[in-house]
Amino acid sequence: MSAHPRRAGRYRRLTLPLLTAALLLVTACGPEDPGFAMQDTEDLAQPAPAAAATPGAATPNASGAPSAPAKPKAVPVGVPYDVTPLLKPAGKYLGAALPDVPGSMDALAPYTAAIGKQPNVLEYYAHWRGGFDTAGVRRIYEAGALPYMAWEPLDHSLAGIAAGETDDYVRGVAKAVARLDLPIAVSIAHEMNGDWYPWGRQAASPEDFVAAWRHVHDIFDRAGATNVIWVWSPNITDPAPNTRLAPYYPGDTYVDWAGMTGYFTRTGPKTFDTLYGPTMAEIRTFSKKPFFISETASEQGKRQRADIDQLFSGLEAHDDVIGFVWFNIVKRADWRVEAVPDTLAAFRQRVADPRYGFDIRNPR
Amino acid sequence: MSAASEPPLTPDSPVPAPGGTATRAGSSRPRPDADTLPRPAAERGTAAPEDDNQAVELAPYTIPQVPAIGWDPAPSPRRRWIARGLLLAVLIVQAALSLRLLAAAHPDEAATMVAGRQQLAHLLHGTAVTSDLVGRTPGSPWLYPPLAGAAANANGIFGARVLSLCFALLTTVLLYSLTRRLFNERVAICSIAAYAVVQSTVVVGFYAAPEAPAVLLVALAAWITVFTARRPVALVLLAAPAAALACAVAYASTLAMPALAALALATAWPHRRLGPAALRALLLAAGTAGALLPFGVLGTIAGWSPARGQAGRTVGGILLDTVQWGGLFTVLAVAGTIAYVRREQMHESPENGGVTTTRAQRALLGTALTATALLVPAIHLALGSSGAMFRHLGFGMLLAAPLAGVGLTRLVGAHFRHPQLGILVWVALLALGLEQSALRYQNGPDSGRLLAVLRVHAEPQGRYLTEVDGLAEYYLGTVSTPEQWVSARNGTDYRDAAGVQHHGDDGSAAAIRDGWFTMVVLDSTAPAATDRALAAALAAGGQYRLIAQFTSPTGDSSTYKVYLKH
Repeated sequence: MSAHPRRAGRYRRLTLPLLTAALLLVTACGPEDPGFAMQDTEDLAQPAPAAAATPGAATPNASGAPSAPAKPKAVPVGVPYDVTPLLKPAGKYLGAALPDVPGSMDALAPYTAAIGKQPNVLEYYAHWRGGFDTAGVRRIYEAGALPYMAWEPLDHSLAGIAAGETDDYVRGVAKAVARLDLPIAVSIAHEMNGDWYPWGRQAASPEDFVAAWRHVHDIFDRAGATNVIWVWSPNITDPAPNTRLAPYYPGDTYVDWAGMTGYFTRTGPKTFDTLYGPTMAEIRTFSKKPFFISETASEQGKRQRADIDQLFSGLEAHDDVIGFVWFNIVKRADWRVEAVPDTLAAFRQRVADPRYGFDIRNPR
Repeated sequence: MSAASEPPLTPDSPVPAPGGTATRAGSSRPRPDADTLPRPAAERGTAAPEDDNQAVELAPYTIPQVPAIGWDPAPSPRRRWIARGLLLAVLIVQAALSLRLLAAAHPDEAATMVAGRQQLAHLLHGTAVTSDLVGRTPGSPWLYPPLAGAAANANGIFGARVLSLCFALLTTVLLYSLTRRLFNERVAICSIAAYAVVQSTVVVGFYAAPEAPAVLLVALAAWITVFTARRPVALVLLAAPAAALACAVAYASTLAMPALAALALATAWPHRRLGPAALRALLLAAGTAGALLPFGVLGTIAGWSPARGQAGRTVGGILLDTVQWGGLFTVLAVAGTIAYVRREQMHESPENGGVTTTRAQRALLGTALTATALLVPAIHLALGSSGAMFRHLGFGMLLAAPLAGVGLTRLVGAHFRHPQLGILVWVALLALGLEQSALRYQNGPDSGRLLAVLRVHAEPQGRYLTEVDGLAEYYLGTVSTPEQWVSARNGTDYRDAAGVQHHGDDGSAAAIRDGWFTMVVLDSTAPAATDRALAAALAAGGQYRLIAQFTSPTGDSSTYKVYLKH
């Protein structure tokens, strides 16, 4: 049975206003714009503010165990970790290379207890084969330190790496690093200007080194691994004065820190400026990147305490030297800082300065 | 009675009727003439057979008069409401398919809204237009962008997209109407059912771009052209303003203009001689060009390219896109054209007043409507880019839709002989449309993540160069102003320390080398020359660091890269 004609006409007249009203309602109650929604998360990609238990401010408690690092604030999933605040922080890095780290973190607590402050960089050495130790790197970060991987091409030539022989492996590492999405410092073939490693100047030309570095860097870029701090790390020029560094430099686009390996030894230079000065001066002729002492220690002996003073005074005198890694491992000599009580006392006194060992999740 | 005394029973032999009247055995049923119809019961009462004194009581109901044919071509309320119901159902499906595509604004949409807001403010309050995104809209900056800006002011990207949805739904209504006029109701329903689910319709129907109103205006022009076909030739000029406006709103509408002129000829030819019909086409073309001439739009259109601002793509890639996005629909339209040329009718109810057409006339109409669906990919193929083809295909799909409707009805066959074939093809179209439209919105790197990074580094004093136009200007209004973001696609006017003035890509590269910009955002879908120049400058300068890179989750090669000066 059909509707009454007059009523049907009324319905028809109402159709347009009703449709318009419904449309306006839908428009007014529209969903939240995802473009704004993601930004509304508080302090996106900003690290958490420093807490009392951060590495920089931490002192060991009564039992000597390190305090737990502050938990970082939630960052939206998928937004890459922003390492730019770590590139030239206000404070200075207090780093260490400890035995078995990151396979085991057992050495960290005693070292922290000994020096009175938890290091905020932990360096380890990785072979150019196998996988990437994601769990180990995560352990370092969760301990409140920046993981620093010294990547050693022991079994492959730099020319071969540049030619793409290890691309599958490098790509796998790059993807794992990108997925990890935590900050990590990486150096490739450190001390390349020396002749004691298989990738040294006796085996590879500067061109091979630069080509290999750029090749690996580009693979990391393509994988989206922007969370890497690239540390170009020659040895100080003292043992190889005739080898120029500039030909080994891959370029400012490929490097974040200019690293240096330089130890205080009984027979070598005795001051910060004589040990590192010539190298820094040479690097400054082609790069303005911050310096990072990627390996140092003092050989046991009468000068050890003075070496400690030299190291810290030098660090404090040079704003562009952003930190150091103390090689606290027995290898060819006993470099452990806790081995000699006087040395340890001096070290402990100097690292107590608040500028050392800031919280890497709140570097500003 | 003996068998020998009976007359022989042949098809033509008379047989005795129950009432004693002889009828022909060849007649399958008695003619419903006045003499044989049963009378009403009141008049009927009882009948007394001649050879029997006993009265026979007749049934207490009447059998209505059986019509001569099973359907009536004349309009009826029932047919009208069924057709409207189906039209409404198609519109609901189309709206649902579009509304499900919720995502952050695409750069093109954001650029249009930013430019539109500024232009709207300029029109209403006289404020200066400072954004360099005004020229990014592929149409007149004073037509669609202010409209999108107003919708964005009302409810952001959702408001602008709902506006596009309204345009798209109106387009479907017009398509139904003109297809019904050209062919019949069944073809019209099939036509809109197919058109409403293809990717270009679903996406353009929820995309804040000038193509949505432009497609509507092309549909309006086609509708006027079809409905004035039997009227005086000059009346076709009524379609010219709509066609001209379509060209002004979106320059890509010019791709549909040859088809509109051909449609003016093809629809008039069956009703008049070829000369006046051709005059009609010329009038429409001249009227459209004449309407565009005073505003200088014709010159702008002449200098415009469908590939402008888009990265290049290989021939194989463009062909693959074409096949994926419009292949099945175009095949259906071409098949419909061939079937229509071979045979005008398939027992459908005719809507054209019974005017018969020749094969040449049908071929012209079919070709005119289908050609644009082939013309759009052909042009993109010639230009070597398919970045904006998904939107431009909408014009081709619209005009080819009536023939796709014919194809679908012919596939089903007369009297719904093979409905399963029609259902199969439509479901395939729906599945492709669903998948491709969803992919279209997921395609490309995640703009939300990009914005999250940009927001962290945006400062009130910063200067930013971006190939991802519009996004930062639209979404980062709280931390930066649109003027801080320079479009790398437009190029940079930069004067270096030596006083040398640089323009375009050279200006952008020089500014990067000098570290002028605080942040640089690259988009791999930008023109290759721009991308190369910027990437080289970034690599050479060494002042910028890659801080974030976003690739498309769907596996296409598009990438956003964010470089920060350190």
